[in-house]
Amino acid sequence: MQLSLRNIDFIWLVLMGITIINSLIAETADTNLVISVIIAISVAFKGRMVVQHFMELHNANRFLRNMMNLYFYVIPLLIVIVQAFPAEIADITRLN
Amino acid sequence: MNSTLTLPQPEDIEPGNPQPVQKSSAPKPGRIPGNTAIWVAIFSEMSEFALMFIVYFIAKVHNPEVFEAGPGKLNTMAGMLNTLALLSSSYFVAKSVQAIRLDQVQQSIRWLSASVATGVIYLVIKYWEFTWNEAQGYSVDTDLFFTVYYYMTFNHFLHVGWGSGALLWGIYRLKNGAYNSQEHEGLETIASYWHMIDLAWIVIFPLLYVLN
Repeated sequence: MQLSLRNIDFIWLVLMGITIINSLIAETADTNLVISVIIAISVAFKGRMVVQHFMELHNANRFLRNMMNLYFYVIPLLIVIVQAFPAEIADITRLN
Repeated sequence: MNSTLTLPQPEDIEPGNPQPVQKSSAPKPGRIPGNTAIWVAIFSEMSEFALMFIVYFIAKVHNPEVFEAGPGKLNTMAGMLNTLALLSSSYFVAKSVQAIRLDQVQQSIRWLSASVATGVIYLVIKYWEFTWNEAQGYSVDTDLFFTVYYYMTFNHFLHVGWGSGALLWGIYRLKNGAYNSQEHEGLETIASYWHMIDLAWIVIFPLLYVLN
């Protein structure tokens, strides 16, 4: 098996490994900003790998690829922002 | 590399065209995988899940104690096994599509069957997890974390259910010879939808089980 992030067999193993590491973090660490950044990066990476190589958008229609990639930039960014500025976000989303 | 070339067979030569059709497991550049309509559905569903994630974020900043305690009350092992099941299922579907591009119909059926099996494993684990939650005294009314948890995960559970049905349809079509290296848009359509279900879970798992 070719150890390359273009080979879906290898990508599958990497994604499984990241999931197990995430689970260990869930069991052992309290969330702080550093943990949030690590989790956000892992979400971005896993999403991108599935979009690019399982969904095969890496050389497909550019609009589809960009929109799907954007999703996995925005959601991880929100994970970090919510962890970093919870009070400020609570203030701007308060109804009264 | 994904691309695998095979020797041309007599059936690879199209009538009126002496050049053999070159088979490759790699997709054509610039194309839309599956049909266009499924991408409307995929973007609609991704938007629906994005709305749920935004609700989660807003609920979390307004109820930090509840959302800090919530993940610790869930069964992390069940969440992890379900993530492994869905990632594997997505991988099996990708292998099935690669196989049909090489006209390996039986191989494609085997990969798709493995995908259905892992989809069913997900459903069984998730059902067991809901039962386990109930035994621990947790329900949709326990607190806001569990309300969001049940809304998000049950919604996703339904997607895996009907997505598995779509995979079964793909197996049926493969067995009836509907797909081959030249025509497999239907299989790509099912595959794209199934990957979307996996993508939603890639976000749900850390939000609910990891970020305590």
